[in-house]
Amino acid sequence: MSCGRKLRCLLLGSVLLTPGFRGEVNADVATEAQIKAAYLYHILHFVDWPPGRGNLSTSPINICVLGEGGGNNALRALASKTISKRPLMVSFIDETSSDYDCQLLFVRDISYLRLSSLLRIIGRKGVLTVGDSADFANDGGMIGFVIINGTVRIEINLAAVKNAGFQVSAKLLEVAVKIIDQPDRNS
Amino acid sequence: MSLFERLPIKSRLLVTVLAASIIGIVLMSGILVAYDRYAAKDAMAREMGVLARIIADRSTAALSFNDTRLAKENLQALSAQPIVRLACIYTATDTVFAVYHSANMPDQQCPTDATHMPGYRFTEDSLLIAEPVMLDENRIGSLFIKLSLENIQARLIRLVQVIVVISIIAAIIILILANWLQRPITKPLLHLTAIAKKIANDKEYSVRAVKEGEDELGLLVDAFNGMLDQIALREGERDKAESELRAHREHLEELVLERTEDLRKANRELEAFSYSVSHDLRTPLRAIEGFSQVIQSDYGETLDEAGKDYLKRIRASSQRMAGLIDDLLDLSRMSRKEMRLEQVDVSSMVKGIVHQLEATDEGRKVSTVIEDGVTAVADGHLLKVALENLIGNAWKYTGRIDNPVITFGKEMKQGKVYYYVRDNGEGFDMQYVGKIFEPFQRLHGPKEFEGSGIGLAIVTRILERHNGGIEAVGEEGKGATFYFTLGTA
Repeated sequence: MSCGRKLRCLLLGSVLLTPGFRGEVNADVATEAQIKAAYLYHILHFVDWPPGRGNLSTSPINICVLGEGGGNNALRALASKTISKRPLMVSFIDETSSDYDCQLLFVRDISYLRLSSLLRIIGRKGVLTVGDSADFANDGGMIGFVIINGTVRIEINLAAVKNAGFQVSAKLLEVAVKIIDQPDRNS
Repeated sequence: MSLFERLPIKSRLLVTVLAASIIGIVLMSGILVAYDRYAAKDAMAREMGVLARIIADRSTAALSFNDTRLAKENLQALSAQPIVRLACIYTATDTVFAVYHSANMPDQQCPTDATHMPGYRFTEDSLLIAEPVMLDENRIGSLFIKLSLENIQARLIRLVQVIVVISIIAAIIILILANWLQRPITKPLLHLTAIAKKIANDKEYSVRAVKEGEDELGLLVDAFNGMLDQIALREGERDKAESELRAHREHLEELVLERTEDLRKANRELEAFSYSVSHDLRTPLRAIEGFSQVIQSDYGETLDEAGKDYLKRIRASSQRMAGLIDDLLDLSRMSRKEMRLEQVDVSSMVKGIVHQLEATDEGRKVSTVIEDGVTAVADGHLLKVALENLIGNAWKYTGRIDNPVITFGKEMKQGKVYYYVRDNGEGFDMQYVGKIFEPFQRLHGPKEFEGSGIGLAIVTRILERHNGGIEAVGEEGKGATFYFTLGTA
């Protein structure tokens, strides 16, 4: 994580020190991976899955992590959490997986070509895609992390989200630095 | 008595009604203001609580994704509510995350302890709201809003102004209404008072109060009229009794006058009778005396000693009887004689009487002390008769003592002139003092001191005719003093 200024990093650390994160985040300065893991957790609060897709009130929420990257510990820590009493599960998968039994797919470090094929595979399975790469949202992903002025921000491809039948809270749209509301150029 | 009690009943009623109304209005207004203040604060707290909850809810994403810009934008929405002075968003660790200042109060600082007490509380001039920002049951931050109470204060001031205006209007209306409503009570009372005053002033009991209703005042009017009936009845009885009494008294006066006239008449008749009797008795007595004298002179030699003695006794008795008759005539004359008042030199009169007595009774030597210059207004002849009797008595009753002294003078007692004749002769016992002034009453026998006993009665009669009187002071063996007064002097 490239903290532009120390103050900002301190601020991030404070944000992450929510009750759910105390314990895991021991360092005063949160790492970028920790922030992204926290953001994943937060995003889950603001998104409603399409009817009949993984929205059973007691069933676990499965977070699938695809691709290589650091901060696996931070991601694994999410497994101890719940959202509306639904437990979180974290599974690390590779591109060979055929069955994406996930509510959220966190895509790390993947090439554009592989990504577009992946997105096509997932299609309308009701999987929320969050990408770590720049232009993830532009490339047809739903939510992408970007770094702006040393701060982790999100971009939302509203068209992709809507096409997949997700309901995204206006609050989430408010925090987005960029909202793409045009049909996926790949579709 | 307090000022209130001195007021007329009309004013008292008005004051009472007005006071009660004003107390009621003030009380109600107070409650209204207090309730309004409470209600307004409560409403404000609830309204702003909702606002705070909305802002807090809107700020979940901003806090979750560390977006201070968005948080500030959210807070900026509060600018629509001008009473918001300060709004702060804190992170979960109570670090200030975003701040909003009202335009006119840019110096406000976010308090550090604001998030410790969720909910709202009022300070003197502010409402403080602390609202947790929750994300799925986790507190991810807090919102603090400070609101000014100036709206409520202004509203209260307006309310108080309105209440004051309404109260004044209400007081005026109440005054008019009370003035109108008190008439049924005060009118009969004033009427009664006027009637009572009229009765007290004019003593006219025939007037009656007019009854206007069947309420307590009507009963009072009835009772008042009943009382007047009673008074009129009593008055009539009293007048009757008074007129009877007056008639009786007048009659009594008439009766007294009548009786007095009767008495006077009887008295005159008695005096006339006594005069004529005395006068008529003198003629036969003169015959007895004359013929006894003739017998003594012409036939005295032929009578023996016993005959001479009898004859002598006859003559003595007839002479004594003549004296008595003369005295009776004198008394009668004193009563009848016409009065001629004049200035009399009493001292000279007394001296003349003493000289006369000295000439008549040459053998006696009596010292006299006569005050000079004593004068009086009286009938000279009658006064002389009275003094002759008094000085004659003194002369007579000092006849048997050594160094007899007769004193005449006057002295002032209780503003009246008392003339006195004093001697140092026989005197008398004071227990018989009443008797000495009655006719024919004597304290001494004729052998001791001769006299008919009519002298002091004559003196008394003379002094009474002068509207005066006589008193005597004496002691047996130590002389006597006769004080007399003259009403004419």
